[in-house]
Amino acid sequence: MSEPANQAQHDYMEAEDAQLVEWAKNDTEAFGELYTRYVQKIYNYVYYRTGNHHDAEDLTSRVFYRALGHIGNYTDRGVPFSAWLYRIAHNLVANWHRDRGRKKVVPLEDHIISGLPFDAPEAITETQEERERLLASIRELPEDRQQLLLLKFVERLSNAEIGAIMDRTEGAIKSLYHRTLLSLRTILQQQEDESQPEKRRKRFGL
Amino acid sequence: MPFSFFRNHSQQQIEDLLLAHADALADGSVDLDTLLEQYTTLTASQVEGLLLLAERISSVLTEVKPSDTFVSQLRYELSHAGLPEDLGFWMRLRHLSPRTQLAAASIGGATLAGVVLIASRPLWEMVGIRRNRRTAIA
Repeated sequence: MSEPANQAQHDYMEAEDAQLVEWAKNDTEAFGELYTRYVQKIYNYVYYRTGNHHDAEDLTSRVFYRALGHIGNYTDRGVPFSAWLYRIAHNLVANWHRDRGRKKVVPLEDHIISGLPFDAPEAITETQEERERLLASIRELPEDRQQLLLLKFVERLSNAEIGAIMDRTEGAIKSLYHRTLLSLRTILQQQEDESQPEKRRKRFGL
Repeated sequence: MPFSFFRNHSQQQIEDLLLAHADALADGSVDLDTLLEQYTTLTASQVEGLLLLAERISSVLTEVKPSDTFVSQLRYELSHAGLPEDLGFWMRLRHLSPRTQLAAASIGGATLAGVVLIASRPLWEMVGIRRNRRTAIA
């Protein structure tokens, strides 16, 4: 367990991640500080990948249990600690999807209540249906493209950080972002085309 | 200069602009006019649709907060789970994926059934011998 004598000397809140990781190998308080720093970020990531709060809580706790279980073997290779956590989260979410064999849609009512940015004018003009459709389309993208959008817009990470997590260069991230937007536009366009006859039928009461 | 050079250059410019725009959206400091001034070789029609789409994505993908109860409960559990070497068998098992748990249960069940079968063999053999003896006496 933890060593009280060492803990008294450590200033956890001021310490950098790399230092905390070293301490966390034999000090649960140091791990607790790392947890405090990253729990919300990991939760956000998992929430958008799973689509509901229940599974997000379950998987977030698994991420931290796994991190705690393996932190003794963690070696600093110049990659941020957060990248290591995101990779654990990414693998667990991938297993979760594989186990379930399906991809759930984000429950919009939860999402809107908890996450509506009231200061963003786009959010006001965007109808609920459009938001739902956009979220559903994002979830149709390949895993790496979803991951990129979440790390950029939800986690607000720099391109270097995203590159470290996804094990790609910044140039590759740039191209991937462009391709992601293009494929998302195609998906939305296809949905629009498919829904047009339906809308027309409803309009004319057929 | 070959046509491919212009095409690649333009592609590069589009990628640079899109990512710079995404960074600005994430920071909440979008100044589209200033941004577009830096990419004079691009026309509005080349990027307009994608910039608008990025703004929509940014407005939909917003931060969500886990419940305070969950955060504090998990912190409590983690601090009491101990260090890696102290993590107990059941604690580790609880946090394996359902598929792994099922596989472990199946292997465990099959092993147990095998042991029971092997262990019970002498008993059945004994019962069989006695039955044979009785039949022989009769």
